[in-house]
Amino acid sequence: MTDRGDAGAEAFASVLAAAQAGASWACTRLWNDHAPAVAAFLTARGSREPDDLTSEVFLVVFDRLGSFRGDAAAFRSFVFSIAYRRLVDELRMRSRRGETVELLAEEDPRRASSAEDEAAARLGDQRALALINTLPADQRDVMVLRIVADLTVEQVAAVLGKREGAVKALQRRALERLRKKLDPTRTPGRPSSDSEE
Amino acid sequence: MRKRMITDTEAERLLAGATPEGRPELAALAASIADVRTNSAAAAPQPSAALAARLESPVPTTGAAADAQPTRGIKKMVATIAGLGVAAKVAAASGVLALGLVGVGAAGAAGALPAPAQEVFDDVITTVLVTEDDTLTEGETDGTTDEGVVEECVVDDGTTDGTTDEGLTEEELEADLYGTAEESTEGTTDGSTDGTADETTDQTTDGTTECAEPLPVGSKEFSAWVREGAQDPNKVGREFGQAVSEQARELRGEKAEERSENGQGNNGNGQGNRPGSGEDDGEDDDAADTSTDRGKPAGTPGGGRP
Repeated sequence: MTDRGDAGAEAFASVLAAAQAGASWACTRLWNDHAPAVAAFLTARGSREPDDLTSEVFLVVFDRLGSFRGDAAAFRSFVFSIAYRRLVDELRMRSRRGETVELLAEEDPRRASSAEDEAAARLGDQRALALINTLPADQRDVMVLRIVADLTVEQVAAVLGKREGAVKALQRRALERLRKKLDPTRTPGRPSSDSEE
Repeated sequence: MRKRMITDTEAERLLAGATPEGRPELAALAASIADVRTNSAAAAPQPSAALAARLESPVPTTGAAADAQPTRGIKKMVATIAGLGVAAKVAAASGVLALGLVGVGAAGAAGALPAPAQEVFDDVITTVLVTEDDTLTEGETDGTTDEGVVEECVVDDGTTDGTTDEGLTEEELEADLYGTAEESTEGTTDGSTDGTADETTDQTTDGTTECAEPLPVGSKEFSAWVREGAQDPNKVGREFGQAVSEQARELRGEKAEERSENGQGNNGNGQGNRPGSGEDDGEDDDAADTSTDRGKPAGTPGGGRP
């Protein structure tokens, strides 16, 4: 795995030490290096307010920064572990309270989708993300953490609290499932029902 | 034709957005994943107000600074106390101090404090108990059940000395005291009267002796100093505890020297000197215990006799 901040091990160590000592620039650096991936991960996993949740995640990260020991890879696992827990909290809370979603005209299911809408939805990552969202929850977690958060198998295992072998098996099954869905000879499948998680 | 399963190596290539060698059928999947990778890379989101403030002025989280950071509960408590008036703050501080002292006292009594703290606690308690013991003995000198008060004790000392100076013999004095004890035990059971009288006589005499002994000059001052120090938030802590310990040791040394200089053996060592007034409810048991002394000549040395 490569650090998105383009900082080597020594550079990261100095940034971390400065952040732990209370240097504003170092905390900002950690935020700039990791927040985009965290926000992308939260968005891909269905957070309603990914930006706010990302800020909450980093408030926790900075609170616990003093107890963190490790390199850049470990720090990435540390950040995403917090992000994953906060995301699970949000999804759980939403499922308990019931979801209130603002009604937007373009999202009204009674509205017939135009050819342009469908074409746009099939473009780029929208289609791929839509495909990933059809996966079962555990496979989806692994795929999003591996692709969007750019974590290694070991890091994903640490974040999800699973064994590395289990993570590898999940990603293999997820890729097989995606391949089948992308098969042009296959009819489109139903979206996964676990999005209500 | 059966499709080949994706291996771990191929999975790594696919997740990187590349098509595995010899697997052209996976090109579409690799392209989709590459798109997700590309498009998920974005700029950092706008931090919330709380996070922006935190980024603006971060809190050190390392070493002593991190340890010194108050927890959320402490922060809330500090904020609450900050909003109180002066009187309320003083009351709150007293309460916290009292709770702390009670907690430390309980732990010290149970011997549960860490070794250095336990040593300090033992020193302080030893000093305080010795002082209390002296005071109680002095209080019993006047033959009443009033708890010993140093000032009263001094007056009684004078009385005792005066009586002795009047030229009464020891037997007359003891008879007088014996009679006094009997009077004081009127209303109690007859069987316990004698024993009580004997014991009271002995203890009174010892008490007189003990009472005649002046208090060490530093005792009150030391007690006051400990009290004041305990109420001073700047002094409560390890350094103050060590200071108390040192002072207690010095005071103990001074008292030992004074006793040796006065040549008073105090054979009772506080055991036989415990107050034994006839009005004390607990004396019935003591009287029964000391009933074996019944018939012993009044002048027989024993127990705490000087």
